[in-house]
Amino acid sequence: MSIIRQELVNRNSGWAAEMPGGQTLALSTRTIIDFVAFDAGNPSHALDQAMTKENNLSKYLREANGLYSRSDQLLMTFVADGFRALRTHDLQFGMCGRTRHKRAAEEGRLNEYLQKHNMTLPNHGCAEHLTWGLEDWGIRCENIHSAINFLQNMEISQDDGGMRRTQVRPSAPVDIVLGAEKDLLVAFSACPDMASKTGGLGVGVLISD
Amino acid sequence: MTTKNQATLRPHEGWTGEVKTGQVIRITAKSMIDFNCFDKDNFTEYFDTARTRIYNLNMYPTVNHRLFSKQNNPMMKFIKDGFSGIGLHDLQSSHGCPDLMLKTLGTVKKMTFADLPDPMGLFRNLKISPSGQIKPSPKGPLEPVDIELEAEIDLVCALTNCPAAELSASGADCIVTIL
Repeated sequence: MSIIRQELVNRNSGWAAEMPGGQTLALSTRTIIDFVAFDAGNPSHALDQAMTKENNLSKYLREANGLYSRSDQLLMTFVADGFRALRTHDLQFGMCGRTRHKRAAEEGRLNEYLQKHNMTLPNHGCAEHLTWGLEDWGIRCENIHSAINFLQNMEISQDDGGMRRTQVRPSAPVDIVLGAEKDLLVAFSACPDMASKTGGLGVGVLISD
Repeated sequence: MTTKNQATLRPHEGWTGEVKTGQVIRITAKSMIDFNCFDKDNFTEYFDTARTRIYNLNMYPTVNHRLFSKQNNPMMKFIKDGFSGIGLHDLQSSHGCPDLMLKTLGTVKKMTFADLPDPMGLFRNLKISPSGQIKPSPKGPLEPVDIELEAEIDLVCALTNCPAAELSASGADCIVTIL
């Protein structure tokens, strides 16, 4: 294995890069990562929650599962899941962001989403991080599909489908390893993770082949 | 309520049309219907399954829920669910009949499969196990029932009557009424 790129991405910020097919992306963190991917040759082929769930016949993403575009192309494979022993990742929520926080505050529902009543609302979140991170590739906000939310754990009622975010996070950084099945543009947000006890933390990135 | 418009869709037919603020679209059906909607004046503001799940904090759309756009704005209120107690609608899946939806929408907006937003799958009853396994579990009412959605902004709505055998109760006509 040779290291192609290695860096630490600051908490509450975004990151994007191109990676050729066959390379591996490892993300190491303790808090939520909102992750998206696009076919580098045609970014309209973007990672899609629904097609990923449908092809894996599961509402959770697990090791060996594929990550698929809306147009049903295999973009990546989930190689290793360091969160596996703790809980599951999320394919239900989209992204946090300024408009989401603002609406929740206006409706007095911050506690339902972020488990806090009184807080200073951030003026940016994952939606903004991904939008800014993908600007250089000309990808607009409305074309960034809902992310895979690694390390965002949800309790989902088997009775009525009700959803609640948990505060389960690893006590030490864990690795999420994804293999590129084709040439890709990948991006993520180091989520402000305001629902957690620690808040957002940095994310280690390692691309290797 | 006054009927403004009504159409009958046979299986594997689609419908698109405008639904103005305050108007209600009634969908009378028993087999799987894929539904999308867009801001009439701005198709980049489209119904988004994830935003809708987040807002309602629920996986299964039903009465008293709201449908939200990608930009986090309310689009519709779910005001009547005749399928409640029989089965569950779906916000997990992609389109059952994408080509039909693209053809249907093509009369107002040319789109590709890659940029066709994921739908709300009415009557698409899925069995989802505690471990997350998803399995289609077709279950329709004996007779067609009404689903009513009220527009909160001026919309273009589109739906396909898409009774794929492995996913849906047996196909039947669907009546779309704008009230």
